Formats: sequence, structure tokens, C-alpha cells
Amino acid sequence: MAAAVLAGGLLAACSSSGSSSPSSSGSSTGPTGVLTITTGAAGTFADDFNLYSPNAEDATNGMIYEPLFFFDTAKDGVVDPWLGTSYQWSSGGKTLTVQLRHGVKWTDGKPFTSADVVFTFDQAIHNTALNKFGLPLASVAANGPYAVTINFTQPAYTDAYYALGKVEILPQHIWASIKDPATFLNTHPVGTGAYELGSFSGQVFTMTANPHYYLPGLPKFGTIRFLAFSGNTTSDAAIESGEVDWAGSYIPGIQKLYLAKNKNFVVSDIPLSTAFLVPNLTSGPTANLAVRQAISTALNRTDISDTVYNGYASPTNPEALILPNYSSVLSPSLSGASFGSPSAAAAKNILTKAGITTPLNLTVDMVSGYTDYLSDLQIIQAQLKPAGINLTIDQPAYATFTSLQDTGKFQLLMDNFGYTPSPWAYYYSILDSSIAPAIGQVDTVGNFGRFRNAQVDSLLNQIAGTTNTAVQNPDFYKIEQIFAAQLPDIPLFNQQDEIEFNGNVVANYPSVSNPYGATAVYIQPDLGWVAARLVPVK
Amino acid sequence: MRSAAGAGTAERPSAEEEEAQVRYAFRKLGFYLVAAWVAVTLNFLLPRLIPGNPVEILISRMSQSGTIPADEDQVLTRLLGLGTGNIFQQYWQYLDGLAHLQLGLSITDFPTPVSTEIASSIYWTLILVGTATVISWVLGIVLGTLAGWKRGSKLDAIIPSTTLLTAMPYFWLALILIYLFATNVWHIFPAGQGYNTNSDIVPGWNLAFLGSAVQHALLPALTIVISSVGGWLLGMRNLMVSTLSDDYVVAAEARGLPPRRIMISYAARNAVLPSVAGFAISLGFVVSGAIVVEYVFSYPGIGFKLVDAVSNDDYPLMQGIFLVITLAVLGANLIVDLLYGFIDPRTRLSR
Repeated sequence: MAAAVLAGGLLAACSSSGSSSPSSSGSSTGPTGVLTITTGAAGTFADDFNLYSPNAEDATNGMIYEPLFFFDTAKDGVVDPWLGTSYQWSSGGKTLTVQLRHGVKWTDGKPFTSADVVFTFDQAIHNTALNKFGLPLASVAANGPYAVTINFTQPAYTDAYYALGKVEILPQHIWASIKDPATFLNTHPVGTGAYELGSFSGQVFTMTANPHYYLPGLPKFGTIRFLAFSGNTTSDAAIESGEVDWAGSYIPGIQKLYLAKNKNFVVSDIPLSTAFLVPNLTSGPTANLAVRQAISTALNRTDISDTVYNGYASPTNPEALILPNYSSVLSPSLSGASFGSPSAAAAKNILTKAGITTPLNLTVDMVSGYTDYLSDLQIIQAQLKPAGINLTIDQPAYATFTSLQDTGKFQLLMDNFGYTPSPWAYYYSILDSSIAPAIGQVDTVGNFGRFRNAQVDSLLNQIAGTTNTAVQNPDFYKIEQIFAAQLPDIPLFNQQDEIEFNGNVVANYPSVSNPYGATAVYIQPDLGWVAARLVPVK
Repeated sequence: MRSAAGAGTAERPSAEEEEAQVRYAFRKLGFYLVAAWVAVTLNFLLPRLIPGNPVEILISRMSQSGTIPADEDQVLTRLLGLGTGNIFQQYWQYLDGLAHLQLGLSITDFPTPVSTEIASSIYWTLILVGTATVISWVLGIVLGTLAGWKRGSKLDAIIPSTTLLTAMPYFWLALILIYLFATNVWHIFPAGQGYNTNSDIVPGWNLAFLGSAVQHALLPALTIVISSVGGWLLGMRNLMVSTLSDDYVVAAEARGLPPRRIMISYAARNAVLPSVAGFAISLGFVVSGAIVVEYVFSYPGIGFKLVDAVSNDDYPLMQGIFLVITLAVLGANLIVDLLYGFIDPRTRLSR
């Protein structure tokens, strides 16, 4: 990640946000219209906008409270000023100096200053339970009203995304008097964001435009309405009828059931995550490379994409790099690499050569109720059969699946990883051996298959120790080569992020050609960043 | 009540009888205390038998929208105040909390207190399921009385079809009703939610909200009524038939009383007794909601909340909801038991 010293100033945020739509509304007429959103989370809402809660309502992060910078989840390397204007690393990655924006006000009218930033980081230093991202913080100090210095106990380049892009700033004048911030029910949040909480009930809450927002002309929508549904069936019905304008729900047969219904219904599908078959690498047949290669060779990924996702969720690549998001670190030798044409005979051949007797029986676990994954696995089951692999599909409930995954008690899992602007964090979470204890012990961070490769560990470590892309890129290339050769996970396709937009109501949403933020409604703080820039139609 | 069956007596009860009554009440109370303790302990144990733990589930969900920093599990464990002490200490903390009427903080909606969660959803359930249960019972009793009175008539012939409806699973019926009346055939009713959320309606005592809430409650209520009325109807009808052949009814007929009076005051009044008990018990179950109905209709009641709690390993919320349900059922049973001792003296004299 580049430690770019960003060109400060108010206009930088607007220009780099990529809002290319030549709409003249907004500044002249003020925010108008209602945008209806469903985040896809099942259940009812809780009247709680406490950003320390792991379950705070989605609008909390990015819409009400804002971080210092915006790290675009959909485009690696794009860092836009938010409450900060520029930042600078020093002392070998142990000190971070941040310049803050002038003229920002909390929604209760008080000014935003460095005291608020210092307060927010101090909370995390003094109470580890409030150190939401486990940052190695040492101290924090203000340099005047509009600059802060954050000191870390160890080089923290890779923590920049969390420290600058995920930690959101709280108003000191309100939170300083709160005894236990962890259990404080924040029902009347005061933030700096583009939206304020309007009305609230368990089934719907509204966010209304902050009339004094510091970025001129933003936000564009007057009201944003969040709807709760019990699950996909009920939310899909509302999306298909055009009742919901922005949603992220899997709709089977999306061409016929959604896109064909109205010419302005749009799907924005930016690859943000990779769906994998995660093999157990320490025990069972999948610890054998030949078995993983055979599975990968027999798979017809295009067929899965066409059958289940109507052509969305396209096949990924052998190095499992999320493209075009991470294209800046793609090895030139792997550019355009793809999986060979699927062949059951070749797969069987690999197994025979390795001395593995067929038929080979394997079991794959998936979360019960993930209907698209079930369709995928049924197709995979049929594709593996002629290669001599009998696949059994187990569908444990979410809690059981999580437990099997975390303890490593599985042969194969179907899951997805990604949703980060940093290719380092992506590879780290699926490959680094330090996060994965032995089978049986609980691992919640990643690398559930327990991949152990000293070279990959040291490469990841080296990337983390610098911000120099000339040093980092060759390391990334090596990791990609190792991934493609070793198949620590079997890449399937770009996890479907078919985000539905009702073009009759909303314009200027991010797309593959203009990825100014992640479109997925469940990704924060992108949700707030994008919401402020969506433009009402007419 | 001085029934035609002559079960009661107008004289003052003897000292012996009064003592028997008190003994009966105390025995019942003791039994319910033990039952409540067992239920409370089970409430504590059952959620913990679900594999995994809330922190693992939380993190797993978070990983669906981003990478997870190392040590996140420890941060969350501390934040949620979990994992302090062994299971016995946890049990003691739980009992201590109950004694002080503290149900803890929900994990799904951390840090919302469980009591707030329950309070915000229980009135939806009480109104929807409560009203539907009362309607279903009254309808079943009235129709059952008429059907039993006019044995072999056209009305009596519909009995088999209502039992068919009772045998139909809730969710199946609900889906058919949604298909017919909400989404595909006729667009008469909304398909789900407690009120029209995609509008400017604000919940509270205003006409717009109440109208919308009633409109949204009709289809789920219809589901409950259709699928439960058959049971009451059949039970009432059969008891009517057997009561009508009793001597005192024959005697009443012989005395030339009007048929209407015989049907209501003589036959129905005695035949309804078992149904009253059944009704009181089913009122206890109202609190648990019609989980499936609420789920299918996205109805924001307590059953829906329970499904949510279970899928997130939310121990405190599950315990809270189970506790409320258990206490409601036990309470309803206790009231029926005690009342029954007075309504029908045969049940209390255990000589």
C-alpha cells in the first residue's frame, strides 16, 4: 500500500471520488428524493449506533461516523481524504502523522478537531476491548488543532488500512463522559457524516441528509431508508418489484426475474472476493497436491457461472488474485492466465499417476441455506464424478459450519475470502501460517486449511515491512506463482456480488469501469462513501 | 356455578373441604416451583449445547465483508463480557442475574439489553397470535356447538374438511395464502412485515400506522385461524354430541324447555369445560408466537426474534425468550389448575 502523501484540500475528495456523472443537481437544489436500501441481513434492526458494537447497524460506519481516509475496497491503492487530508509514515513504520480537515462540524454544531482523534485512539489504548482492530498502539498526541501523531509499538504499515480507513472518529465532548462505551446504547448518534439518524423502528429506519455536510454538493439523496427482511425470499420479492432501489441479494435466474422486468434495472458486479473450495492441507486425501490438482482440472468454472449466476461470478484465475482490483501487483508472467480447459480424463490421469485409487470419496461442507453454493456444489459433484471423485455435500447450520471451519475438522469447505483493498491482507488471511494453529485448535482469522510454507510467510513479512512497491511487487509475484503451483485453496469464481440498482431512482453508482467504492451494501465504510455520492434520477 | 349437573352445592363448604382446597393449592404451587427451577436450568444448558460460540460466529460473519485482524477474537470476547469463569460460575451468575431480573445484553444486537429486545417484539406477537387464538377458539366453539346440535346436517358435514386444514403445516398454508392473496394471483394483502415500512408511517398511536398494522396482520392471522379452528371445532362438536345424550338434557327436553336454551345453557355449558382448559393453556403458548408464521411473513414478533437468536448463538437472548415462554406456559397452567379446582370440584376432591 502506498504511503502516499495525499494532495490535501476539499476538492481532492470530490475529484478523486470519480463522480463523473455531469449532474448539476445537489448544490443548486439541495438533497432530494428517497433511496430505499436493504443490506441483506436477516432479522430486525436494533436501535443502536454504537460503533464499538460488532453488530452496530450498517449505517453507523461511514454514514454517521467517518474514518480519516477512504480506502477503496474496489480498487487497490486508491486512498481518498475523508476526515484527514494527508498522512506520512516515519521512524520505520512506527509513527504516523496525519493532517486533518478544517471546517468540519459534528451534527450538534461543535467543531471537529485533533482532540477528537486523540480521544478516539486513546480509548483504544486504555481499554483493549475498544481496540476494535487489535492495533499495536503505543501513544497518540495532537500537533495543534488539525494534526495528530500516532505511535505504534512495532512497524505498522499493514495496519494503515485499519488505523486510517476503519477506525472512525468519535466526538470527545459526548463520549468522554460515557462510563462504559462498550455497552452504551447509542440511540441518538452525533457524527460528522453525510447522514443523520431520522426515525427508527425494528423494521425500518431512515437516515436524513446532513444539511451542513462539509463537502459541497454532497450528499445528493435527501433520505435513505433501510428495510429489514426475514431472509432472501422476502427481500428478493421486494427487489424484483422495484420496491428496493439498492440491494445485494442473490436472485436465482437474475436475468429473467430481475433484469428483464424493467429496462432500468441494473446489476453492478465488481469482483471483491473469491469463492474457494478450501482443502484440509494437514490430513486426509486433500493434503495430497495431486488430489487438489485433479479437482481443479476437472472443474468447469464457466459452466457454474453460466448455470447458477447467468454469467455473473465469472471464473477467477489460478493465482486467485482479485482482478481488476489488485492488477497493480499481478505478475507479468501470469497476466491473462486462466485455468486450462476442463477435463475429467486429465484429472483421472493425475490421480492414477500419483497412485491414488479411484473412486476417491470426499466430503465438502457448506452453510445450510446458501442456495447458490448448493447449486454450485451439485454441478461440481457431477463434474468430479467422471474423474473418479465421489463428492458428498454436507450442509451444517451456520454455527456448526463455523465451528468445523475454525477447528479445521473438514476435508473440503466452500467459502469466500476478500473484501479488502489490500492484496497483502488478502493473501495473508488465506496463506500465512502464523494465524493458523494446529487442527483442533480454534482459528478465527483465516487460513482454515492450515497452509504452511516458510517462503510464503517470509515474503508476506517482507511486504508488510515496507511501503516501497518496487520491493513489494516481486514478492507478490512469487506468492502468486507458489499459489498457482501449490493450490493451497482451489479457486472457483469471483464471489457473486450482484448488487442490484433500480436505475429509475438512482444514478452514479460504482461499476467495473468506475470503481470509486465497493457497491456491496454490506461493506463499510464504503456504504457511507458511496451513499453520499449516489444521485437521484430526475 | 350451579350447573344442571348438580355438581355444586349452595351450602357453606365444611372446614374439611376448605382445608382440602388449601392443601390442593399448596401442592400445586410446590410442583410449579420445581418445574420452574428445572425449566430455568434447562434454559441455561440448552443454548450451550449448540456447537461453536458466539464470538466465532460473529467473526465468521464479519469475514463475509472484510479481512479479520489477528486477536480479534480476544477483543470481542472482552467487549461482550464473555468467557468469565467455568460453567458453574456462569450458572451462578445466571441465577444471580435472574434473581435481580437482569437478563443481560443481547449479542446479536449488542449492547441492547435482552429485556428491550423482548419488549419490542412481544407486543406484535401478543396482538397477532393472541387475537388469532381468541378468534379461532370462539369460532371453533360456536361452530362446534351448532354442528353437535344439528348432528348429520350440512354444517356437520364440513367437519372433515376443517380437520384436513388442521393437518396442513403452518408454513405450507402461509405460502399458499401469500401466493394467492399477496404476490401472484390477487394483490389484496401485503406479503409480509408488521406494517408498511416503505412509507412515511411512524409507529405509534396514529391512524395511518394502526390501519397499516391491521392490514398486515390479516393474512398471518388468517393462517393461524384456518389451521387451528378445526381442532376446537371437532373437540366441541364431539363433546356436544355426548352431552346431548345425558339424562339431564333429556329431562330438560321432556320438561319442554326451548331448544335454544337447552343447547346453550344445558349442553354447551357443560361441553365447553375441557375446551376452557385447553384455551387457557394455548394462551400461554401465545407468547412463544407462531414461529413459522412469523418467519414466513417477516412478522417482527418474538418467534422471529428467537430464530434470529438461535442462528447467532445469542445465549442471553435465547435464555431470555425461553424464560418468558416457560413462565407464560407455566403461569397459564397454574391458573387453569387453580381455577379448575373451583370450576369443577371433582378435580380437587382426592379422597
